[in-house]
Parts: sequence; structure tokens; C-alpha cells
Amino acid sequence: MKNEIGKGRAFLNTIYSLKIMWQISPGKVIHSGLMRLIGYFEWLFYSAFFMVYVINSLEAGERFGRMMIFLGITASVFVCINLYYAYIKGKFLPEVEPKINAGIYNKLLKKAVNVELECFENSDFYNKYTLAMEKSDVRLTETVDSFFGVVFGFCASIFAFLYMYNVDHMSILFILFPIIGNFGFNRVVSKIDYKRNEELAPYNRTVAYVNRVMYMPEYAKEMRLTDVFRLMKKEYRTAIQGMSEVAHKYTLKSMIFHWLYVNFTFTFIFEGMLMYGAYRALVSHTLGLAQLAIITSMMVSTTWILIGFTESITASFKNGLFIEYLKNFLEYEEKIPEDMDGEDPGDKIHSLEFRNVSFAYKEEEVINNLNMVFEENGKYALVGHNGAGKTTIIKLLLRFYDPTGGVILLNGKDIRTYNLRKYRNLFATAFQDNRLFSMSVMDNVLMKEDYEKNEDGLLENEKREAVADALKLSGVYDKIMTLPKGIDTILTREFDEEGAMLSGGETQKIVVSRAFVKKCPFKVFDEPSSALDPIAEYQLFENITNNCKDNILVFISHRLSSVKNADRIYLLEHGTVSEMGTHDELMNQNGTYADMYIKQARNYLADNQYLNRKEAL
Amino acid sequence: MKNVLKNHMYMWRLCFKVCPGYMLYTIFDAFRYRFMIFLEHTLCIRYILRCAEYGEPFYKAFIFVGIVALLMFLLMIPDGYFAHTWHFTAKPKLYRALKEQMFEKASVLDLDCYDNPEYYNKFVLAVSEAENSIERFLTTVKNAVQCITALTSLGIFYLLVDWKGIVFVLVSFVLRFILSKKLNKVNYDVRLEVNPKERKRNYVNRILYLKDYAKELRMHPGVGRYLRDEFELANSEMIEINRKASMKRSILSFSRVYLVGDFITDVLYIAYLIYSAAVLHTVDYSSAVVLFNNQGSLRGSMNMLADLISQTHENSLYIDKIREFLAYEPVIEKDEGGLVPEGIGKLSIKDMSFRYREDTPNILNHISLEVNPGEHIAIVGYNGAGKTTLIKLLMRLYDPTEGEITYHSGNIAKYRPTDYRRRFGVVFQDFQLYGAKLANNVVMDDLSDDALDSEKEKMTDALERAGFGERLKSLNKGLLTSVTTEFDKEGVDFSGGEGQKIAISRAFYKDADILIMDEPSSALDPIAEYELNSAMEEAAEGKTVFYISHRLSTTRNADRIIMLEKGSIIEEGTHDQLLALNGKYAQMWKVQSGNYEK
Repeated sequence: MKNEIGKGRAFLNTIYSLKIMWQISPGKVIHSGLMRLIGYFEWLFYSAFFMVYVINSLEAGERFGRMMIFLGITASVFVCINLYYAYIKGKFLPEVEPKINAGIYNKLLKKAVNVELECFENSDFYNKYTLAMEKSDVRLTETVDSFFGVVFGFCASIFAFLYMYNVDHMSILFILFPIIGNFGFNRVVSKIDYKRNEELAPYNRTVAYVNRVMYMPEYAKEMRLTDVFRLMKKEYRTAIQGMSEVAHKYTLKSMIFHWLYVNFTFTFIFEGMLMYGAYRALVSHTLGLAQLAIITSMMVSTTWILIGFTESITASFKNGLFIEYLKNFLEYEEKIPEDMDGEDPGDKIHSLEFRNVSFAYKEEEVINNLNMVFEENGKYALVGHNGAGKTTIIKLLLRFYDPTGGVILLNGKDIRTYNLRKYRNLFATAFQDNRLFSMSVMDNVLMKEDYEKNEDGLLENEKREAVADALKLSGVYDKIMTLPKGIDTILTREFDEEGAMLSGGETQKIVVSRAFVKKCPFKVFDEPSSALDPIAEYQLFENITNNCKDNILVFISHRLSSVKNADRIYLLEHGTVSEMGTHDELMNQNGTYADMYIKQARNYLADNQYLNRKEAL
Repeated sequence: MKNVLKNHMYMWRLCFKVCPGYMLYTIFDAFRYRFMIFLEHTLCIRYILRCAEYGEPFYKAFIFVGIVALLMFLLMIPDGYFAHTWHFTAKPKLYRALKEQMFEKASVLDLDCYDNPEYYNKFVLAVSEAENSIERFLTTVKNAVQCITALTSLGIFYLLVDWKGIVFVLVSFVLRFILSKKLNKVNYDVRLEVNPKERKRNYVNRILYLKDYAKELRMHPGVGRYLRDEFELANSEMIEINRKASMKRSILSFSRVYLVGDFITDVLYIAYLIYSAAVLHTVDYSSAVVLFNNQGSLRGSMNMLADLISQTHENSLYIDKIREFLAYEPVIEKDEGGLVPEGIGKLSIKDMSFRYREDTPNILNHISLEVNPGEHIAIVGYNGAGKTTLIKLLMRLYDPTEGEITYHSGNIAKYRPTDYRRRFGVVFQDFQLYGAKLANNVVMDDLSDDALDSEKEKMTDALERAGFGERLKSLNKGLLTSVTTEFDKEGVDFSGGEGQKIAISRAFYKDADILIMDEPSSALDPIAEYELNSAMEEAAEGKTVFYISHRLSTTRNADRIIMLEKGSIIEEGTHDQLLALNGKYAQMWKVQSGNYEK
């Protein structure tokens, strides 16, 4: 079964989670154990000891006063226990819960920001990892709790057995029934449940999908303009029909085992014990009233202790898989750890070279024997079809991935030898997926670059000026100034009801400002104008070229007019450079680039001016 | 209170109509569960103990216990069916009863509702809570029946055997209820203070572990450190908030659980029972044991009753939301109105203005436009000029605030929306693919096997014209390929460009009068864009076409170009006329084409 793991591993995982919890809060481990211990003690005390004393005393005609003394002692013990409970529930747990959350997520998040980007893009890894992240504080706590549930549940069961054996040797036989019921039949029932759920899962997924389509705004227009609603309704109905069929498939088997489980666990022991007790008391006269009363109440307790014990075992198996993912993630060895140390690359780039670089993603070659050079102050453009590998090259350049073949050299040295943070610090990038954070406009532009090292950072007013300049260059300054708090306005409404919601184009401009503001030798713009209108696009490219004179500049664009002035254009096809040179050189080659360019330019050039001139050349 | 009851009756009617048997059995099951516990744990044990105390013959005990056992054996037969099959067949049907109504409503909700965040949040809440609401309702029904059963059976038992036990339990219950209210108040205040911190915590979590932000965080590690410090801070604040309340909470919790709970029943009541049995001899031993053992159940069911009241109030809040949503009357999306005359007609916009809400500025200002059948119109302008809004009004996704739109010289508000929209083929920049067969994604409807067969050629043709022909041939299952891998491991996740072609094929398949292309080529590389434009030129023959594009090269051949600025038409004419005018369009054109011309 793929969602359950072996007993040995489940045990090791539990030990692992105890270890983690101990590191975060030893108190939680101790109290968790103590709570369980006291819980079982209370239970056994009342049904075994307390009951025996009271009934025996009543039968023996004990003095009322003496019985009251016993009751008083009992009461004072339980006052202490309850004071302890109140402390745990009123103070300890509420305070330790955030602590556990902080403890476990600190580990997880530290790891999450340190693993290489590929982990996020590998869906197998990513799915397990998001599962590990989900409510991990709660599940860790549950695992620790259920561990003690198993330990003390086991002890309590043994105690209950011995006690009953002591009162009546035969009664121990009746305990066999709930054991068989719980560990035998109930296990079959859970297996059936598990299989049924597994078969129901795809239908549940369909239902969830239809649900999503029905309320997400991005589907709303098409829902109204087409008949796709009927399609969704059909899928929904088919799924429900399917669920019903799955359920019927298991009816007979689950009915039989349910019957056996319930009657073995409850009826046989309960009614059986009562009859047996009645027989001993009334026919063979070997059992007194007190013992009969004790046996009946012990029998009820024993059954419930056994059920609690089984539940604890199930719970620790249930969380076992999660702990496994958690452990794997925390112990995952980063291929490119973000805090990787190495040589200081300095702050100048003379050259950056891709030498015979290949890169395969999930065994599929994305980049294939690629050679490229970027030199000081050079302006470069990457063009090519969708999916030709342009964005992958940027990721290799920034060392989000390492090449599977070949090498990338900075100033003649493999980039893998440099300190990763310092290496990346040489680059400023405007990514095309346009992500904003719930921080002020200023922070969204500066991106906390000098966070934690204020002494050598810029002065406050210098910072503000730098941000304002960057915003002007990307063309969004005027818009930001219309916001109530200017560049101190918080973006998104995540926490601030007054937070600003920007349009797609404005968001893109903020992201582009990040690349403008950063002082570094190498700047990358990945489709910086895809959401902009022609005028804004033109302005932006003007500003990029004018302001990055002292930088190496790389941009990716489908607008070939904007790449024309590059010192060198790389045309990518099937993961490798198929053409390179200046615009004029490439036009003269009359290859793919020329074809693309002409197709795009055609409509702009009235009367085939361009084509005529080209023929004349 | 009246509303709470009404809401629960509403749910009952809804559920009972769909699965009457299941609902009745649910009630029976709750009754059965509690009553059997009473029978076994109270009556049975007492009977046996009394038999022993008074030396009754064995056969009496045997028969009594035997009957109870037999009853259990019999009742457990349908119970297996109920727990392991009926739940799984009936519940989806109950969910469906509610959700199909909601889906139906969602599909005719005016698009306007999506733009109103307040309404939209309510709507999402209603949809996402539908299943839970039914689940909660069923739990409430179950609890209510269990509660009533336990209180009645145990209540009668105590009244008959020794009524004073009830007094102890009742006093404990009342005091506990008062203290619970106080404790809840403390907890609620803490919750209010903690909530914003928790939101912060969740936000940081999400940002740091979702892949969306992974790249930025790797380029700007400072943000990651900052967010982690924020996380740390939020947690310490939460600890501090809890610490402040801890004394109060501990004392209240001790008083509630022990002083007015266990102490009254486990100490005072026992003392009373011992006194009654040992000194007064008013209660026999067997009864004392049973009374003591059952006071927990009695107390438990009283607490359950108290919980039930707050439970029903909570249910009611959600049911209110759902009913409110279902009661919404769409303004536009009604299934009424006349049919649109056959054939392609003239489309006119007459002095139309539009704003989203009364208090927001106009998005469109006094637009007038006459479009003849077969005319090709390009709409250009800066970001935020109102181009997409104009298109949405044309398709009647919104109604104009002032002025009107006519088609075939009838006001489009008078036509049946579904019939009117049938005339449009639309390609949006934010098109969607659906987790179904490729064929469904072209036709955008459910397809019977016959229809699949008979429409095959038409679908293939539409895909080919959209430039998807080559890719279609490479698919093993052709039109039957599953789109997305969500439900079919052998499905295909199409790339952005491929998806766009599929979306375009829809417009071709539909054979509409009016084609609308909203930035269809934004994600395409130059070659793909060129191919698409050629395909569209062909498809647009004889149809009215509206184009929106930032790439003026694609719009230059239009019969008429409309330049929008701040919601008004500022220039209008052919490409050459507008160049001659030397206004804003000419400026835009020059900027964009300039770089190509050198």
C-alpha cells in the first residue's frame, strides 16, 4: 500500500519526530507523556481501585466517617491533578503552540530558501515537499501525542488484563474478543476503507475541479459565452455516478466485517461478561456483588482502553508518511545550496562564457551544446521561438541550475567555484512572472538588498532617490505618486485594507525597476514589455539602453525592433545557438532571424520599402 | 432563533427531497446509538446487579441479557450498510442537490459580481462551504437526536430511581455553562488579537514555500531573511498575547472542569450516594453503582445540548450565505428575451457610457460607433484606455450605464443573452483550457459519441485553421486526447502557444457572425504570430471582426481603426487616414514602426 509505510520505518520516523520536538521544546515532550500517563491512571483508578474500595466498604458496613476520609484524600489528589491540567491547558499549551510552529517552520523555511530552484520545478519532489509543509506543527504534535498514547495505552491494557485476571481468571478470556475485533476485523475494515478511498479519489478530484472552475473568475467569461457549463455539469454527474458504483462494490464485504468488528469488540465481551458474571454470582455463587460490579465496570474500561490504544497506533501510522516526507526534506542534500561558499568573484565582469553547455530537464535535452560569450559593456539579445530555451539560459546564468554538460565561466573560471550569493549579486534581473510582495513600493524595488547590514547601506534619503529614479525609468513613477502614501504605500491587500492593487502593466514596471535600481555589472530583462502599450514599450527600451551603458545587458524579447541595436543577437533554436551576429549581419545571412524579422516588420513597412531595399543590397 | 429554525428546516427539506430513506435512517441511527448505550450500560448492568443483590434466578438474567444481545446482532446488520455504503452513495447526492443549484446560479451570475470583491468573497465562501454546510447539518441532526434520546432515557431513569442525582448534575451543568461563557470570551479576545499575526505567519509561509516566488527570493536573499524575521516576530507576539491571558484562562479552566464539574459529581454526589446507601439505606447498592457510573453520561449529554445551540447558530450563518447567494437575481443573465434575427447584421453603439459602480469614474465616455456587417474594426490605445471593457459591453457581459447597443437594429438588452452570444466567436488573452477531451475544448460543450463522430471533420478543420494541424497529427488519440494531466496520466499539458491555438480554433468552429480577438498573439513568437494572423485573415472573410492588439502591424489592415484614450474615441479612420491626421495614432505608429524602418 503506497500510503502506509512499514512498521520499522514508522517506528524510526516516530523517534525522529520525538527528537525534533525535543530540540524545539523538551517541555512539550515531557508534558505530553505526563498527560497521557495521568489520563490512563485516572481511568484505571476510578474503575478499578476507587470502585472496589467503595463497594467493599459498603458491603463490609464500614463507618461513614472513614469512607469520607478516603473520599477526601482522593479529592485532594485530584485537585492537584486538575490544577496541573489547568496549567497545561490555560498556559502551557497556548504558549508552546506558537513556539512549536516557529521551531519547525524555521527549520523548514530555512531549508526551503536554501534548496535549488529545481526542487520547486520537479513535481514529484514539490508535491511531497508541500505535503511536508502543510500543518507540520500540528502533525508533529499529533505524532508525539500518539507515541505516548501507544506507550501508555499498552501499559494500561496490560495493567487492566492483570487486574481482571486477578479478580477472575476466566474473565481474561473475554478480553480476547475486543482484541480480535480491534486488531483483526477492524483492520480489514480499514483496509476496505482505504481501498475504497483510493478508488474514490479520482472522482473527488473531478468534483473539486468542477467546483474550482465554477467559481474562479478566470473561467467566468467563457462560462457565459459558451456551453462549457454543460460540459462541467456532465463531468460532475459522471463523477457522482462513479462514486456510487465504487461504494456498492464493497458493500457486502464491509457489511460482514463491520458486523464482526462491532459485535466482537463490544457485544460479545459486554453481554458475554454479564452472563458469565451472573452465572458465577447466581448459580455457582463464586462471585460477590462487589466483584460483579467491579468486573462490569472494568470490562467497559478495558474495552475503551483497547480502542484508545488502537486509535493511537492508527494515528502514528497515519502521520508516519508525513514525518517521512518531513525528514526527507530536512535531510535533503542541496545540489546548489544557496549559502554555498567559494571564492569572491569581485565586482567586475570581464567576460562570461557558456562553453559547450548542455542541460537536460527530466531526461529531456533543453539546452544542447550551447556556446555564448558575454563581454564587458556588451549589449546582447536572445531571440527565438517559444520554448527554444531562452528562459532556461537565464536560469543557468544565474546558477539556479547547474549544466548537465559543459561549463559556464566567469572571468575565465567555472562559476561553481565562486561564493553563490556573491556571484548572484553581480546580476540584476527582471523576471517575466511579475511577483510583488506585500511590502511597501520602496521595499518591492530595493528588495531588502541591504537588510541586516545597515552600516554600509545607503542613507535613507539616498535610497528614496534611487527608488524614485528607478520608478521613473520604468515609467510608473507618476502612477505611484498618485497613491496616498507614495513610495511608502503597501502593495497588495494581504494585510493592509488600504494596500494598492496595481494593474498588470504597472506590476511589470515595478518588477523592471528592481533591475534598474541595483548597482551591479550584469543586467537581465526577460520580456520586460509584454504587458505594455507601444509608447510605454518604446520608452522602456530607450531607458534600458541609455541607463545600462556601463553594464553587460541581456534582454529577451519577441519584439525584434527592440533587439535591433544589440551588439550581438543570439538566435536560439532547439536549445542551441543557430545564428548570431549584429542585426545587419543576421539579415544578410538571410536565415531564420531574417525570416522572423521580415514577417514582423512587413506590415510596418509601407509599400514594401524594406523588401525593395533588401533586394537592392 | 426563528431564522435558525427556518434555515435548518430549509436544509432538511433539501436533503429529505433527495434522499428520504437516508435522512430517516440517520435519525434512527442516532436514536439507536444512544438508546442501546442506555440499554446496555444502565438497564442491563443494573438488572444483573439487582439479580445478584436479591438472589433472583439465573434464567431471568439470561433472558434479559440475551434479548439485548440479540437486538445488537440484528441492528448491526443494517448499520454496516449505513456506515460503509449508504454514506458514500447518499452524501454526494446531497452535496449535488445543493451544489448544482449553486453552479447553475454561478453560471448566470452577472460578470459584474466577480468585479465586486465583497460580493465575490461571499460567493466563494458560499460555494466552498456547500459541502461543509450539509455535513454540519447532518452532524447537528445526529447530535440533536442523540441528545434528546440520552436526556429522556437517563432523565426518566434518575427520576424513577433517585431524582436527587439530577439536581447535582443540573447544578454542575448550569455553573459550568456560566463559566464556559466567560472562558469563551477570554478565548475569543485572544483569537481576535492573534488572527492578524496568524495571517502574517501564513503569508510568509506561502511566499517562502510556493514556487512562484522562488526565483525572486534567490536573487534577493534579503527579502527571505526579512520575511523570516517577520515570521519569528509574529510568533513571539502570539506567545506574548497568550501569556497575558494565561492566568485568567488557567483559573477559569480549573473552575470549569474541576470545581463545578468533577468536584460536584465525583466528590459531593458520591458522598451523597454513600450516605444514602450506608446510613439512610434509601438507595440499594446496585442502584448506587449504576447511578454513579451514569452521571457522566447525563452530564455529557447536557453539555452536548449546550453545544448544540451554538452549533445551530453557526450553521445558520453559513446557510444564510448560501440562501442569499441562491436568491440573487441576475440582471443580465436571464433566460428570456427575443431571438436574434438570422444572418449577420449591423452593430451600433449609441452614445454609450459605462462605469463599474456608481461611485467610480467612467471607464467609457459617450462612445458612438456603427459597424456594418463584414467590417473589420481594430481597437487600439494605451493600457487602461478601456478597450477590453468596450468588448465586454459588446458581448453584453455588462450593461451600459448610459446609451445602448443595437444589433440587427434591436437593443441587445432585449435579446436572450444565450442566443445573442451564440453569434460571437471570442479569443481572449486569458483563455482557459478545461480538463476534458481535446474535442470538448474545441466545441466547448458536452459531446455525445454520435456528435463526436459527426463533428469530427469540422473540429479537425477548425484546429487546422488555427495552426494546430501538425500538433494534432502528433497526438496518438487525436481529438480524444485528454487535455491536462490532472485526470489522465496520458493527458497532455499544452504549452501557452498551443493552448492559444486551441482557443482560437473555438472561434473557427463556432462559425459566428462576429469575431473578437483580444490580444490573441501576445504570447507568441514572431513566426507563430505571423501564421496566426494569416489564418485569421482567412477566417475573418465575410464576418464582422473586432481586433485588440498592441502590435499595430496586426491591426493596420483593418477597415477602420478606433483609437481609444481615457474611455473616449479620439481618432477613427483607416490606417492611412489616421497617419494623415498625424495625431496620437500616428505617433504610436511611428514609435513602433520606427525601429523597423531604419
